[in-house]
Amino acid sequence: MKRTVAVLVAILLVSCVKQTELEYEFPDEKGFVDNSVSLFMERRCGSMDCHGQVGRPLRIYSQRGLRLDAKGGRNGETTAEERKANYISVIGLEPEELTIARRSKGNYVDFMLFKKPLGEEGLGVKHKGGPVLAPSKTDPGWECLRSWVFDTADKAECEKAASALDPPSP
Amino acid sequence: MRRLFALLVLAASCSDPVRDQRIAELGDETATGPGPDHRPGQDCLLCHSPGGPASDTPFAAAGTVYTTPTGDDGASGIEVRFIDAAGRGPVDKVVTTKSGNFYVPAGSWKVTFPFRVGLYKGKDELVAPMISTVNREASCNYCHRNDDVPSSLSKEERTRRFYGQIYAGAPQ
Repeated sequence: MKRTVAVLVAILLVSCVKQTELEYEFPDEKGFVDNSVSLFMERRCGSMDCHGQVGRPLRIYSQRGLRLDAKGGRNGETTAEERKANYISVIGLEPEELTIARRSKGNYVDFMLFKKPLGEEGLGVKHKGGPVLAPSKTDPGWECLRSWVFDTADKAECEKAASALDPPSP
Repeated sequence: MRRLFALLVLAASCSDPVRDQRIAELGDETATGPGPDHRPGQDCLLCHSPGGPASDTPFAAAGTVYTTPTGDDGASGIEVRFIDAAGRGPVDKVVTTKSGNFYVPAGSWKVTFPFRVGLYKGKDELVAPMISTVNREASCNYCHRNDDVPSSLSKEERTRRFYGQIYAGAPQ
């Protein structure tokens, strides 16, 4: 009897250890920062009326919204630390789903980072800001996200997306 | 009786409890009563938008400009210029009233987000450009506010999280 209990406890412990051994696989941080995925999200998602505020689940830090700290004042340039924090925000949104997507090499798109910006109108999910991207090769924002999640961030598309819809000063 | 109950349920389900609570938190009406100078500094489109209690006078955008970053004096006669992602802005010129309030009637501008804003004095003197774009919220005081910022926050934390009120002057 004692041996049976010991075996059961051992199995239980092993199964617990297995639970914590999930290995994540995320799109890379360097591509997020250097290839302007962060810049695109700062401009298009990170204003203070959207994801640039502490109340949002997906926080985006930048010169144009929430600051990571106030060392550089309110309007200083977006810092490297803020871009790193943006990366952590994005991969932390649904880490398991992002891992599955990354491993799927383009086949798995059923996760929030892709569904939210489409809004319900674009066959995604409800987004308070409405549909802000279209699942199309002609939308540089969509291509920027897709390229980063599945392969290597397409810097040209990300920069195009960052400046798209950016009106000049009045 | 059942019909009455069903109607009551329907009526209750039409209201937005979050909006209702935010409107209640605005407090009493200003002494002058409703008009271009009432409730300066408050979130104008909470009421002046479809579904709000002032939906008969909907705004495309609105807010308040002050003379200083923290004071209560409104800056009158400041022109507020807008340009949106479609390259358009309000049909009519937008100028602050004596309380510092400004508003764009919904019929004057069909907004394509995001848009940018700049404050001008005199003919063409730019006194305060806005660095960020406005991506969704056309009620300027939604972000630019001092009144409901928790007083327990340190100065650094306020700077980090909030823009503060709009004022017609150089950044400080």
